[in-house]
Amino acid sequence: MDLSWSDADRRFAEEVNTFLDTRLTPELRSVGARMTSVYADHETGMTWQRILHQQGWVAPAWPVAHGGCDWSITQRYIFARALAEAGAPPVSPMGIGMCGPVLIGHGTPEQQARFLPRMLSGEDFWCQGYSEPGSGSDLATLQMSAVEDGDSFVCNGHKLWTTHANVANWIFCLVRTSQEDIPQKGITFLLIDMTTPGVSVQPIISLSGEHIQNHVFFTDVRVPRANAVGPVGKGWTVAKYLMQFERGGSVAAPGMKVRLQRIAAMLKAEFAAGFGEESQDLRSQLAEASTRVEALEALELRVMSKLSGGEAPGVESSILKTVGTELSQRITEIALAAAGLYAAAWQPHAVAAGGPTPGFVPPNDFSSVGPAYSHTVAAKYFNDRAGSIYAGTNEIQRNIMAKALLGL
Amino acid sequence: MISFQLTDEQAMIRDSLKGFAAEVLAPTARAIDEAGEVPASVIKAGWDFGLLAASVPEAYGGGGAERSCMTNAVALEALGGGCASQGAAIMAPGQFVGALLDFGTEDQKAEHLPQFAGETPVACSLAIQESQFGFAAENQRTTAVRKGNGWILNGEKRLVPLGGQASQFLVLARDPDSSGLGAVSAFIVPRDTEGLTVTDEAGTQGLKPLSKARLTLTDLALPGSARLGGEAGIDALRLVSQARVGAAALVLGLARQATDFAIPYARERVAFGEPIGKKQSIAFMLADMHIECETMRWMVWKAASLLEHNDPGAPKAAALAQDYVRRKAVKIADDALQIFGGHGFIRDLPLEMWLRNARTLTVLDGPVSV
Repeated sequence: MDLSWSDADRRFAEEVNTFLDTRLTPELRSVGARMTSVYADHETGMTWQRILHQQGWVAPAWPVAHGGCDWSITQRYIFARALAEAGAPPVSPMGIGMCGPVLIGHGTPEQQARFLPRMLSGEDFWCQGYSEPGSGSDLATLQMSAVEDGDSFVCNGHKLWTTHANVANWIFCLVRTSQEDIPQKGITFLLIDMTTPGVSVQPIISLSGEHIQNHVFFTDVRVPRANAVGPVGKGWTVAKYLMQFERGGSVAAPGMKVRLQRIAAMLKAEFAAGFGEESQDLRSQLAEASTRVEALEALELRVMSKLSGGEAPGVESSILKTVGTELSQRITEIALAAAGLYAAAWQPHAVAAGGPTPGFVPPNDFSSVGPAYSHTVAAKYFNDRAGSIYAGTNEIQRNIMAKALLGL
Repeated sequence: MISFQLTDEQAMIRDSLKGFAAEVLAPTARAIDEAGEVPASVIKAGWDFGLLAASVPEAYGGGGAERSCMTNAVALEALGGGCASQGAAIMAPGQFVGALLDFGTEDQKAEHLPQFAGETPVACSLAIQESQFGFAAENQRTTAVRKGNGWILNGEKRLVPLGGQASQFLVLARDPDSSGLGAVSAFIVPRDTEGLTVTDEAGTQGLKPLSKARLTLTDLALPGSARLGGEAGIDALRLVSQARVGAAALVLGLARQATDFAIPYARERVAFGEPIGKKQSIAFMLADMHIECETMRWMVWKAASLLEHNDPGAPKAAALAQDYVRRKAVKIADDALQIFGGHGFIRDLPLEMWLRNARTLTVLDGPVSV
């Protein structure tokens, strides 16, 4: 048991921090600080992705041969932690974090050569087509059909909650290529060009009033057979491989520490300005949340240590997902209480200029009320309700733990 | 290199003590709790594992192993998984030995350490706790005032572990003209010192078999050599942090024991036509208990590891681990009791005893140390 960084790791951390000091501009940091979901706004995220790509650091987890970094798992953790602490807008995970590893693990050399470089550069922007109206956490019941017709599949169906489909030019989908056998066996992992005739996107306005998710409709969409990743009918195996990336090995605690610091700073500024009264209860809530963040960090370090030793995260992915999302939600509740009346004001123009709220006309003077951090707290609170729902609801995670781990 | 890997020796100690806890401590825990006393045979059996003797330097007759907060945390968790009361009684002298190793002068080590390298158990313990609302270790009311070359101590210590048997106590006391943990010293006080009154503290809710005593110090005079560390004194924050992590490790073992006890019951107990573990209300409760046990372990290990490496972040990590474990361990013991329904409430099963013990361990600053 040793929690000290090696000299090489310390040198690496200095190198990362020097890079962030010079390349992560105040504007980019500002957007990172105003995020209301786990995603930065599209344009800012792409700007930051291009900067990371120039540096060769956009996909640390990928093999070097495909454009990744020759970093140890510890170094990847240090990098992710430094980004979170600096408030960098995260790179959208759907391409580089999800589809990329699947292509590296299961794609053909042709698919890798075609898609991976454009994924790194941001020329292609990906979204994930998994959930459907009747299939969320119980994903294997999905019904979007793909019928083989010569060298193509003809796809019909409806994908739901598709984050950033409105700006994506590619989507990776799970589609049903067979109704025979058990549901898991008739699924295929398919890459679809969003500009193909028959693909249409409609916005979903979320609880927070923002437009991040979408409906994606497929009507007789022809997709080349060469776009199937892995064998036809084996998409569930590919999807499970991806889910490990989606659920495991997270680095959430450092960002939560920053959020708690911002809440504390907001409270301090309010007291100093003579507004509000110092609340012992809020201080106690902040302290409790801080302790829980330390606990989450210990879990994350433990998983990182397991990965470094060549072990799979396994059920600990479910633990991290559950603990991380529920703690994040708790922090949004504290922020809401700390912002007080300011949290009642609906001012999306102060959260992200021009959007992401369709139809909202900001005031001419772009004025807003309250301390800067209070602008985001209500939207963040509402948006974060999704945390315990996406990537397999937390109830599903607890079921996994109860069955796989405890044998219930 | 970040690693949560135990050394081979630590893994061996954990496995040996887990076996001892399961085969010796757990089966007798209820009877011992009812009797209100840990048998000498159990203390001896625990002593024979040689954990204390191993940590005593070879020059004083011991094994010369490196003092390890991590090893102690692993040992406490293992023993707590059998019976927290007996585990505390076995490990309490470690507080005295650990402090001597960390802060003692050569003369103090030479005088006191050899007795712990022998085969006969030695009872002694650390006296931290006092009776005051919101007790904080840095606000000791027990005072130590210099008089000539010696010291005069006044005050009262409560719930001192092994108080009934201890031949020596390590008493924390504060310079009345100063404040904070920097003003706190530790004094080696033999039981027969004039001015020391030891009173049994019976009737506690939890850890009933662990002897606990009230120490009343009235103009208790000590030679200058009684102050641990001599003129250098001690790092009281480190000492208190070790006690916090020790208590957290012990109650972590208890929480794991309660969780592991409830899982097979949930598989077997049938209600409304199916095992209750198939009902999500129970399955989710157990999943959460498992999550918290895992989380508590990594927090305790992190704090113990930082203490072992003298990391400046260790006291904070220890306080956080203690705070987290305080909140979660009692909840786990309570949830385990809830899963057993009425069976958990009565004395046929250990659930109610575990809840009492968890509650007690989480209000004390530490009857044991890492």
